[in-house]
Amino acid sequence: MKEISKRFGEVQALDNVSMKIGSGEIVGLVGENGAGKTTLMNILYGLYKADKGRIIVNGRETNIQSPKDAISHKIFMVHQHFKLIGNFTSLENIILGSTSGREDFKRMNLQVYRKRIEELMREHKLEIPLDEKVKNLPAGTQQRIEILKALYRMAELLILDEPTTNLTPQETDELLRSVLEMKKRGISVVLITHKIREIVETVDRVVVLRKGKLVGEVPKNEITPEKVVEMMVGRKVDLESELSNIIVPRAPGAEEAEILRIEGISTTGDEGIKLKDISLAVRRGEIFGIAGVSGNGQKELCETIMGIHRPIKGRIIYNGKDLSEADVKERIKQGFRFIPEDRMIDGSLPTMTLSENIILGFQNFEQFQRHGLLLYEKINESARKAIAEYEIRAPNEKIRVGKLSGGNIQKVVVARALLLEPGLLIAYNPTRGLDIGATEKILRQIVELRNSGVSIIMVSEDLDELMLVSDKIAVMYKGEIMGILSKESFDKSKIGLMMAGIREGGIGK
Amino acid sequence: MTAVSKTTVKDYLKAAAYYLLAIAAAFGVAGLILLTMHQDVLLGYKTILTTSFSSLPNFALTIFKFTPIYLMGLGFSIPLASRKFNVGIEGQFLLGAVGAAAVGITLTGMPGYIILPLLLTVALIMGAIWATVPALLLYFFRVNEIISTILMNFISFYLVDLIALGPWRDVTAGYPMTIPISSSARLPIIGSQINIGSLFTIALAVLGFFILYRSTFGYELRASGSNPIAAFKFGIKTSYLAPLSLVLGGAVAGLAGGLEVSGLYFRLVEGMQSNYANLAIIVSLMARGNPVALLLTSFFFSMIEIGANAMQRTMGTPYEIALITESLMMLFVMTVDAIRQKRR
Repeated sequence: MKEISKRFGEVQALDNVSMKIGSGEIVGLVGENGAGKTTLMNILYGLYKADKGRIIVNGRETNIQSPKDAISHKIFMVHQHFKLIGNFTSLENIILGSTSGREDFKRMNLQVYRKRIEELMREHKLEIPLDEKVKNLPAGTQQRIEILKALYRMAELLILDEPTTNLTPQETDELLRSVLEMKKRGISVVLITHKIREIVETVDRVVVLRKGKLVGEVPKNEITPEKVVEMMVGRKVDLESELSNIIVPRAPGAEEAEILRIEGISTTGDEGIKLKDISLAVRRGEIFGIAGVSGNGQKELCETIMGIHRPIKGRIIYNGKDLSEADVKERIKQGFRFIPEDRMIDGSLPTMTLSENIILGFQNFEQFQRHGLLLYEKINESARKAIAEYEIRAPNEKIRVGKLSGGNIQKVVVARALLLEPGLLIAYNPTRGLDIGATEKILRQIVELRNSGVSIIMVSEDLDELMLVSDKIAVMYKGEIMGILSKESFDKSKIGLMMAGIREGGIGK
Repeated sequence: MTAVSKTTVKDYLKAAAYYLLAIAAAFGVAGLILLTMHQDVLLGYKTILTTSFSSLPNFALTIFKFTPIYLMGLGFSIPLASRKFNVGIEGQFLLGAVGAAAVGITLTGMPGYIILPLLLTVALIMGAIWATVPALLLYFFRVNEIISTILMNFISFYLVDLIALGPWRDVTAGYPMTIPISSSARLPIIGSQINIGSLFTIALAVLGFFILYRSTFGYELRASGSNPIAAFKFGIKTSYLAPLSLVLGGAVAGLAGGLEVSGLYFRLVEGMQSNYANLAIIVSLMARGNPVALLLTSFFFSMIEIGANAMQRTMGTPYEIALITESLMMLFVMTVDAIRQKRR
């Protein structure tokens, strides 16, 4: 790809970026969110059209207008969100679109296809159940189906967009092993990621993008995570040492008062994943981490604690008070704060102003209204403070939140949760979609909040991040807690096993 | 800070320029249509834009049109804040008129200061009741309010027929209408021409603005319209807010019906709702549901209506040119919005 430029409205998404992918090479394409990694690859895959630049495949200049063109050049892309048909089996999904017309369908000689696919599975060490419906399979398996689909169509270049996001650590290892197998067979692979640590061992070369510009390339023997992160961000960052400075350890045994106690919560599952008999206790000044592959009940648990869903069984006790019957409004009044899963879907009011978004949930608080009339002076003042404190990039507090970028909306959602002295913060992926600078800042704020005595329940799919800040980690699998570990016994492979549904030593907590 | 406010001002000017362009485009196309009819286009424009201000009677006529369009527009705007489309303003208007006529016909010999507030209150309540049916259907069974309110409209047409041809029928008239309401139930006229009912529009504009944009209730309403999931997850009881907003909208539309009976027709007349409901929906959408902006859009449309009537009289142009211009305006405004969205 040569001198690719792409502009979205006022944003220059890509500025004169060139990159080469050798045959049988594994290239890591790294950068922060919004650096242009996915955009660049979407252009190669024909989903976007570049404003400027050329694409050269196998020495010939090529005009790729659509994914169909890309596929005809044996270029495939596996997106972050899989594009499979849930009601079809793995086998059907793999052959879908590659059968060459009516005759093929009529005959549907599945045995022939099956043989070829089984061969591929063996060659690339990608095991999947071929006759299972895709909707019943975990994310890691679905990803393998996507990859097999590409291999089945003789892919020569495979692009994987943030492939590790939904995987357990073990699944990540497996994935990277198959990538190496593909390399052996001359297939080129591009790994798009912002988690550089995971791919250091695997890649032959790393290409770094920052704000739409090519920052540089690092060959295998010179890759260190620190160096690459520095290139991504443009300055030195060391999250671990930064945060370890402010994480005050607690003397063992000096456990503080219990703030939140959850006793045997079960739900019907109408709202998503069914929660099964969940009990946990969160103490004052403690970060209680919840790990798990996304979609294993973390969201439902958070929302049940917030009072959004009513459990069919169980009690929620906060500061000694039974709040099982309290609604969301009451719980917010009691000090519950919430950073929901998705800032767009359930976190923000796009057509309302930043000020109005900041007070969502607090609109009936004394501070912000008198006799049912909102005190906009005070609301705007709070919003202006939040803009300054969280470095929200907004022209003023009266801008509609829908006009802000995703990262800035996330900052608004976080600012809201920390606005008025929280007692219990439920933070679902609080750093989702933020660049490293903002991530650092928000984690620091959460840790400082903990140091000041606030209890925090934090869900994160980034296990490194979770292990760094949490005092305890509970691992969820299919609506159950597989085990709760305290800081001394954090262990990535142990947590990974629990994420896959294997209890510690085969027994429950 | 100055740089910031400059950008906002610039944004507003830009938006204003876009909308002026949309209006100009609508007039442009309307002009082309006039051309094909071999009409004097410039005279047409002049008539449409200036008739309302050419004489006091014409201005009063404009205000007579403006009042129901504005109030029904408000009746549409309040539910619109929670993203509900109260297409039933027409039926709610008629029920308000029925209520007002009933009070005005049956209660005679009472002084105006008693009967008038009573009449308007009944109109308001009747409109609210008519909207309560779709509201309850929405609350309990999540029945789409567009469908249920349209169906309620149909019922209201026949209800008006029933009453206008029933015991209160004015047998001397060759058209379905009731006997007139008592003289004390009629709204006084101010300044010899202007109906006192129009003052309600100003009061309700201010009230509506405060309710929607300054009160916690309006905040919750707009929040549940902006993103019902987020609003719900942060403790706003979205399930009853939307139905409630329909009832409020119905009340305002009902009041509009009451004002028409008490201030203009002095009786219930079949077809008195004219095409107000459609116009009200357009002006409300153009004003984005803002009660103050709605004053402008409603007045502008009333002007076009009066202007087109004048054109029909003086130039022989069919009145329908008004409807064409109004529809074009809506379409162009929507186009401009789409373009602005894309350019972002």
